Amino acid sequence: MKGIISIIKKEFLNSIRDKRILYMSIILPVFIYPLFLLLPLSFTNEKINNVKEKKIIVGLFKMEPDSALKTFENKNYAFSSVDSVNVEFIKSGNVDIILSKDSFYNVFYDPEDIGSQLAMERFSKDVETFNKEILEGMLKKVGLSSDWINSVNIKKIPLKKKNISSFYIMLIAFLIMWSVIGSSAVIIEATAGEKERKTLEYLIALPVSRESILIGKIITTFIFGFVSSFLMFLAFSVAFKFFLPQASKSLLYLNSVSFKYVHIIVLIIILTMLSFDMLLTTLSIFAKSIREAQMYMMPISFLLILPIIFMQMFSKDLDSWVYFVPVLNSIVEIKELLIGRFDSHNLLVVILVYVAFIYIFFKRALRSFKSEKAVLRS
Amino acid sequence: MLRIEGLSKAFGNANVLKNVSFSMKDGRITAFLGPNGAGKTTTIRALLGIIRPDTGKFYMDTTPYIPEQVNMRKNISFVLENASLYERLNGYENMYFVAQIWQLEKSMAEERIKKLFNELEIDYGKKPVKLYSKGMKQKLILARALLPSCRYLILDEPLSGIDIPTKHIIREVLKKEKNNGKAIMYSTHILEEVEELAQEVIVIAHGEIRFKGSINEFRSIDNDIETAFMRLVV
Repeated sequence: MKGIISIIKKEFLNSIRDKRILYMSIILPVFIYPLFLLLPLSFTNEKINNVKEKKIIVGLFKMEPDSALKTFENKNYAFSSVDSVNVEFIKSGNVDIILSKDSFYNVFYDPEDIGSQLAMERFSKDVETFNKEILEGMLKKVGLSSDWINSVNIKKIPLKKKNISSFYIMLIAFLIMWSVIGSSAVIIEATAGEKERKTLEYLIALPVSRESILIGKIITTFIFGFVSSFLMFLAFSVAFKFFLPQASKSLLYLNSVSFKYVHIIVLIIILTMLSFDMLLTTLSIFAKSIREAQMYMMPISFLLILPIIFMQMFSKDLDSWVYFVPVLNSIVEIKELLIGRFDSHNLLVVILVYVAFIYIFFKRALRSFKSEKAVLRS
Repeated sequence: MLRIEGLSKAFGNANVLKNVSFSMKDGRITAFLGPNGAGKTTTIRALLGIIRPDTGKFYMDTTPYIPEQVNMRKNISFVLENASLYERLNGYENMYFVAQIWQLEKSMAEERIKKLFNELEIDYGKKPVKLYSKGMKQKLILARALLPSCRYLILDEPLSGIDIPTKHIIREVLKKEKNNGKAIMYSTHILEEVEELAQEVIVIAHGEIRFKGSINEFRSIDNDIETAFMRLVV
């Protein structure tokens, strides 16, 4: 045990002073990734807010503002004439939508421009309100209640809790993926890096068992990966809470998320990370240099991304076999737990799959670590 | 005394060690001589449990020594050829890691580190080892080997590529360790070092032991030790 602790201390000191590891474990997940997410979202958010408040410019083609349209001037609309129905008027920012009239109003908008799309939605809504107001006035004139307009009233009652958003699933998947990739820098440094700097031979000749060395290295890797994903989770939470409160409601459906099973979620993340740490260790022990180890890690990144893509494409048709597929089972199980669904059978399958995975890859990593060929490969 | 009997090792079709037998005596420095590729490093690797020999046995006095057993390895400290330090750690941290592996008490470890740093004139500062000079690094590598105060000390090319003042300091420390009763094996191909330090000489070439005896017996082969060495290895 003392040997393992000594190895952990040494690996920790060595890793915390490595700029590459710090960049991968702290800078990227805490600053860069949330920024990547925040920028496009805040841009969209700002556009939505702008359209809500700004004056919408309606281009009129072969028509003059009629009495109905003139009432819209009070509702923050402005009108200008255009000589054709051309998307370029919208693209250049001269107008938001174009209006022409035959038997009814034709509203032309640019589907690729979020501002034009939102302007069209606001205009449609305002036209509906206008129609309703006219009808109400007419009913009032003949002494009838406005309730006649809505002869049938409806009330929407959801039969089940709103499902978690696909954006949230993507975030979970990203978190799991990062917990593995974030720790890969540490394990590469602790194995292939030691070999490259010629310290591995010294380490294995010291009076400490190879099991202790390997366990010490894996624990350090795990700690870095876990801290890295926890920091990323915090960074995303802060980003959503303080910078994009609206987006957090619309994208994450946070109201539908339950944190009742958070301890089980943490356990699943730990098991996922540990099993992949073992796999990465096995590969990087064999590598003779950091560069070679990084090359071996590439397919692992694809292994992690594939289930995420699969989940996005077939999230509604998933069967019970998904619980046997590493990474995919974590994402599905965490998603289920987040919406408050707990199935002990599925959870047991997930845990057993990972325990088997951890056992097999630890044995394999240890075998590599005891092999002269792997350790002395240079 | 550390004894090696019938050590053989092959890598594929290449027989790197062929029935190697010799011993290291307490209170003596044994020079382990041989040209490049003779099998010196493979012998040391086998002794330290880095590689598993095909045949051969090791004894500490009369007790079988099994390199795979961690507790037995606690009796041997070493300097490996082209050894490196943990470059992001400072000198003290490098030393303290070794102290923890040998499970030295904190106060005792600190006292020994201080003593060795003074003796070998090593910086006690907090700068990482990557900023040390080559000579300073080599002294630290030796200090790391001397820290656990083991009965057996194995040194593979400890003085290669360092300046004369540093060599002088290290030689003096090794003489002192020998006088304290340690059995030291000193692998080198620099013959002047052998003349100055060794009492026993082992010559290995093509994986075979070509000579084992005292320094005087080695000198008796030829007045010029370089000629003596060449006669043995060719």
